[in-house]
Amino acid sequence: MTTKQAAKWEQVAERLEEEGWAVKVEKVWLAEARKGGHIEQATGTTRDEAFAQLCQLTLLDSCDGCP
Amino acid sequence: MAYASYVRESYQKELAGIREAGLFKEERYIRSVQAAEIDVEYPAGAPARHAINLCANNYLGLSSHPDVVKAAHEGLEHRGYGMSSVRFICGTQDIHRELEKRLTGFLGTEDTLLFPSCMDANAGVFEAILSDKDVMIADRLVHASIVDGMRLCKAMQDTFKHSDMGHLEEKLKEHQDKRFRMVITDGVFSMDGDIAKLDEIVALAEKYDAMVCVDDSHATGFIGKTGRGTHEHRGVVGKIDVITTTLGKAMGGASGGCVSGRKELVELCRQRARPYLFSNTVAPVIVAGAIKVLDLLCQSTERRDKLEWNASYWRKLLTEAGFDIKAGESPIVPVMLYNAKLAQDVARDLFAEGIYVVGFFFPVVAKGQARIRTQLSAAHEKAHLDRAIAAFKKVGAKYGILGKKKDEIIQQYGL
Repeated sequence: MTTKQAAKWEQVAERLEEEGWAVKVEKVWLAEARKGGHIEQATGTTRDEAFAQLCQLTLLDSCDGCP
Repeated sequence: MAYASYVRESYQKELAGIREAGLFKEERYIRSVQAAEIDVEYPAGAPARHAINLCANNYLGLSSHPDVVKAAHEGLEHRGYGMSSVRFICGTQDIHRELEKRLTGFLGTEDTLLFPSCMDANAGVFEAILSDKDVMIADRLVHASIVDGMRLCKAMQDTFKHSDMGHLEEKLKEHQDKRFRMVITDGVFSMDGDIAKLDEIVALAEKYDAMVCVDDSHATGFIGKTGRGTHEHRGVVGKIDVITTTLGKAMGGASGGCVSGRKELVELCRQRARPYLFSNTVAPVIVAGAIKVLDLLCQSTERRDKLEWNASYWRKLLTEAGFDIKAGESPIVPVMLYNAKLAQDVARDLFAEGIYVVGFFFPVVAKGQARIRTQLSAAHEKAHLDRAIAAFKKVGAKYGILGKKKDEIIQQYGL
């Protein structure tokens, strides 16, 4: 990221904080599963965490259930 | 005009894909009131066929009950057709609050909030009461609306194997670091008709300091000795923190749902649940009808008793005829066929015999678990069930599935 870009994001973060948001930007693992047009995504601070959450999301999606 | 031909073609292709996959849903037009016997136009344009209805959620037969219809008429006359408002602006009438109080008393909770549907209640409740510091631990067979509600909530999502208390305990231990834990389950599972082990779930929740949420849509009005629901059946009235349920099944079957439970949780839903905040109020006519339904349920258990007898009798008839059914106590009795095409063929032939049922298959149920879900009603008489079993036997014999076990049906028809 260039210095100019970083300064721009800092300004954005400051504005958000003024509006009451507690802002943090950090690197995370992204786990993704696709099936046809369907997509499940999960993030985590560790790879295990991201995979575990992705697994839960796919389990939730495994069956639509009777109305 | 942004709906260009390539956009139209793209959507047409998507719809064609749904048809090719055998997943296209078609509506059948009912030309009568909802009842044990109905007139069904299917396919569209065909003359209506008179049929015994074995697939409605009309468990107590109250959908067209004369007292309920009369009360609805009176509601219409005295409180009007609509409110043209959400609840918190100018959409709350005295009868809305009366119904909420009556539901609270009936369910044995602390407070209740009406929603336009239980789908909306489930979509809104978790986001309103849980945060990213919390965890939701759901049975893997919970209703689709709970899954949607969980997705809308920032709390961590986790699941436990269907009705597996050992697995639930593992999960509760694993999540002791979270601020709040909430165990989520259906009361009666709509796919299999089995009843949640709420007594064991409550015991685990007490041991590991968790709240319990139950969607009792397929139980309210008839499960338990006085029809209070699964919590009454399992002896844990007063110990469930959140009950979501519907007025759209046994309770008259029109529409509407609710969140009922601990007063703080219900109040938070009133403050924050988006489907409540941004949807119109439940129509007065439905509220008036639902109050009458509660009157009827509190006067007598005759209807839920009859439903219980019907369910037991129907299970006996199917078992004696040699059908493979899911064991259970509820009025949801799935006839297992495993193969999707077989389920559709059997349903079609039963309709030709004057029995209205629907085949369910993936993705509504898991792959290889295709079935016909039969549902009993207090509106059914013994004669209805005797006629229905005769048709089931005739069609079952045609497909050679009577007396066949799961493996034999799969061997014959594949998955």
